[in-house]
Amino acid sequence: MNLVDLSWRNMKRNFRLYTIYFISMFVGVVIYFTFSGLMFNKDVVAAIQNKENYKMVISLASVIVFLFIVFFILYANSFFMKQRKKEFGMYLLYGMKERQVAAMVFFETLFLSAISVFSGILIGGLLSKFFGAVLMNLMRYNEDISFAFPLEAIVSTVLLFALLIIIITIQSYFNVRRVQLVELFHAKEKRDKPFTFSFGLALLSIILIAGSYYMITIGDTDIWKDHFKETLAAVTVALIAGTYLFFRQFSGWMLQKLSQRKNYFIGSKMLWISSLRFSIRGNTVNFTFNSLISAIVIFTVGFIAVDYAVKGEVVKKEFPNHIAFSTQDDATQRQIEQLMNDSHPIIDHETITGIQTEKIQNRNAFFSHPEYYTEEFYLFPESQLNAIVDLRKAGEKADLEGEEAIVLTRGIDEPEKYKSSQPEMTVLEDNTFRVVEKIRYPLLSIPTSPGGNTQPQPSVLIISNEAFENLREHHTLSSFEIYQIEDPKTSNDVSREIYDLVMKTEGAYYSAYIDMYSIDTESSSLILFSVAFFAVIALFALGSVIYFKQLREATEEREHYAILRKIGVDDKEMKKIIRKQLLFVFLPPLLLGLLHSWFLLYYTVILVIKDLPSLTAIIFSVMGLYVLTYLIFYISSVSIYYKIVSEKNTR
Amino acid sequence: MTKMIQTKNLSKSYGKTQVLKNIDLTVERGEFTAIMGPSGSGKTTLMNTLSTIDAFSGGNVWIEGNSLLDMKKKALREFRQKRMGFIFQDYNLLDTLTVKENILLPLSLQKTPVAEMEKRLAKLIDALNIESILHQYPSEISGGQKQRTAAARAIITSPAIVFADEPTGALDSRSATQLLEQIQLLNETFKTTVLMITHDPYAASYCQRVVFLRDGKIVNEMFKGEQTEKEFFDRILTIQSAIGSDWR
Repeated sequence: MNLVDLSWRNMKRNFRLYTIYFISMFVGVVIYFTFSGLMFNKDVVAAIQNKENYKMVISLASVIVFLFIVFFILYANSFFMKQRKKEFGMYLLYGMKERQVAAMVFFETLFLSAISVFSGILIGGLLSKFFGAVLMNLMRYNEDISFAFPLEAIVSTVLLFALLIIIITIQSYFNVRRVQLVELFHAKEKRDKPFTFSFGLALLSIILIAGSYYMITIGDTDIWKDHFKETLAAVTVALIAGTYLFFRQFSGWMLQKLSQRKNYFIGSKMLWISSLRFSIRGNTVNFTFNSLISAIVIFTVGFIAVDYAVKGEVVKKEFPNHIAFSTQDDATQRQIEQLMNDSHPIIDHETITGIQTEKIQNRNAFFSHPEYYTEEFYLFPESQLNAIVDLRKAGEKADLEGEEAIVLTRGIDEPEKYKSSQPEMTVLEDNTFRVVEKIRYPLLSIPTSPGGNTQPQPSVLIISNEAFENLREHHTLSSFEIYQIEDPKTSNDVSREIYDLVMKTEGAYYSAYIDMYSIDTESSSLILFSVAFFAVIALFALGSVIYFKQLREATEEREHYAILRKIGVDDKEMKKIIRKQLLFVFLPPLLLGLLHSWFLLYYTVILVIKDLPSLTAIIFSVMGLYVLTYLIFYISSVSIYYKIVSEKNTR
Repeated sequence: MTKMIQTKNLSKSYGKTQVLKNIDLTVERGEFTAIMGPSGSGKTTLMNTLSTIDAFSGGNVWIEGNSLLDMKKKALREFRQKRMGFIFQDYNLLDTLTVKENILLPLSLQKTPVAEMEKRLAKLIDALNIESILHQYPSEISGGQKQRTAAARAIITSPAIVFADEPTGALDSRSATQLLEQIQLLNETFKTTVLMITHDPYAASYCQRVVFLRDGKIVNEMFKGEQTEKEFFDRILTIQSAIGSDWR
């Protein structure tokens, strides 16, 4: 019998144990392949405006996904290695070399990986259609995504998993080397007494958790506004401490209470309750960590979703002009209007005319971030501003006299009214204006290009009509065409064509809402999409920590169940005990994790994004998958736990 | 009145090896019987088949007149739970349960009312001298105390028969004597039938009757009658050396 043969036999014999290993590997491949499949999917790439950015984000995301998978699989593998310590010990005892045992493990991993990579790619390819569609939907593109198995994605998946096999084999080799033959003959350690628990601390945990929830619900009150940092720190500490005490004291106290009840002695309650009481010490940190991190992971998805939702609004505010550009000659102008009307009919059109100044020093007086604005100012008369206010039906009209002026800023600048000490600005050699007010109003937005490049926003000074009249005779005028069009969110192609026409003139101004919108939506969609993926993997990995710990405990409990069998407990009853015991292991961290994330999300996120059903859908799917993961782990661990404890004790 | 245990031509084989060969054995109610034999003589197999843990290959066994051949799996299990008690060499106590909980476990699983449990426990406490350790965990008590706990667990269901597999095997001689005296007491007070497997002539000398097993057959049998433990012990030793073989 050679090593390959032995490996094959091992796998057949330990089928159920290998199933979980296989599933983790399979899930890893599916997720990784879905990601790299999206990176090379021709339909998706065709729809994306900023292709460089897309490839970068997706490849970064797949690296993170891969790292997750490496961690997860190594964790799973170390569980198997420990589980099979005895078996390895026997091989070594019978004279097999460590290298041979490692080689055997290598063959097993190879078999398993081959199957999971093959089936994972198959499923991943099928899923990439679905996930591609989700991504397109987030980016608001109407691109049909077909099933795809891009060769590049297949090659990179196979290569990375080959790398993973090598890592696993190295880990296994070290694990095998660490097997001490002596351990084969060691009895297992004895347990102590269970802890006693304090009612006070149990109560405190509930007070701390409830208190932090309450603080979150009153998030819009003064205490948060006035003492944000202190309140945040207090709530965080209370939540962590409360969760820890919940698992350590409250659950212990509750089990202790249960064990003091009269009916404790009836049926199998005694068995699972006492068993849980003994496991509290080992589980507290694990559970606390689990529910807190799970809550944070879910909250992060929500947070990113808000970012996605808000960004769309910000772009709308900062780019009120659907398309704006420096006025062209008549022929070009007609050509451009024709282009627009062909696909996105013009709703409104206005021409504004101003005077460009020389470079102005010391713009700090007007802008808190001057680097975002051009050094030259554009002077516009109040009448032009008022016309645009009429056109957009948004903003306030200005009424200026003499040398009064208004500076226009964007979102990053706070609006300000200057009462006394109004800053002065001297332009065009000797014309001085007094700035009476700074308002947030994008008359001319940031210059954009369909490729995604942007330039500093034109600085704009609104002056009185008479001042402008005085200046206009002696200076060159610059005019801009401002258009509102129908359905601007799909105007990518039009924008590109107009941009090419306008940019034939060196230094022309061009700005389109859609350019910024595409870039922003694409990048925030990508981030949201990737984060949702990470979240699912992270929740899966977190759940698996509890899962593997239970299975490891099953090995230790084997003797326990052997005794039960001897005193006449039948299989059905044993399964019932295991089901109950594991339910109380998986349920509390899940419930607390859900509750934490719900309170964090509802008051900060859900209320903000409730008008965007696709975002709430994403958050709820992540939460749903969280529950599903635990459900799968629970069902699977019950079955494997039973299998492990009913194995004949080989000792 | 029916016999507690009766076997006829009882045999058991594992593959081609015949471990038990046509055994005819009768155990009366209330008897305290030891089965002795060298390792490999089939004594554990005999006990496993009698206690319904293991199936036999030929012949039949009647317990309290019920033929094991005619009983279904579920009936066997119920029978085992209600009518039999077990004491093992390695105690087999659950270390997450207190002494009291360990003792009550069989009743718990049968869903006996709590008042009834307490009543039965109270009767055993004095006989086994376990009052002081009731609320302690197995890791906190001595081997002798553990085995007394196991004995209490075996007997709390008021079984018709208690099977004890090398109960003194892991105990020092003082604890062993104490335990044997207590089993004797239980046997006398509660009229519980006890069938004990042992390779230790000293433990066997506390029984009323010793059955010797070798190569799957009963080779000898003796009764204590009016003899003292010392006299009985000497006689057992004589027979043991006559049978020879490897006594472990």
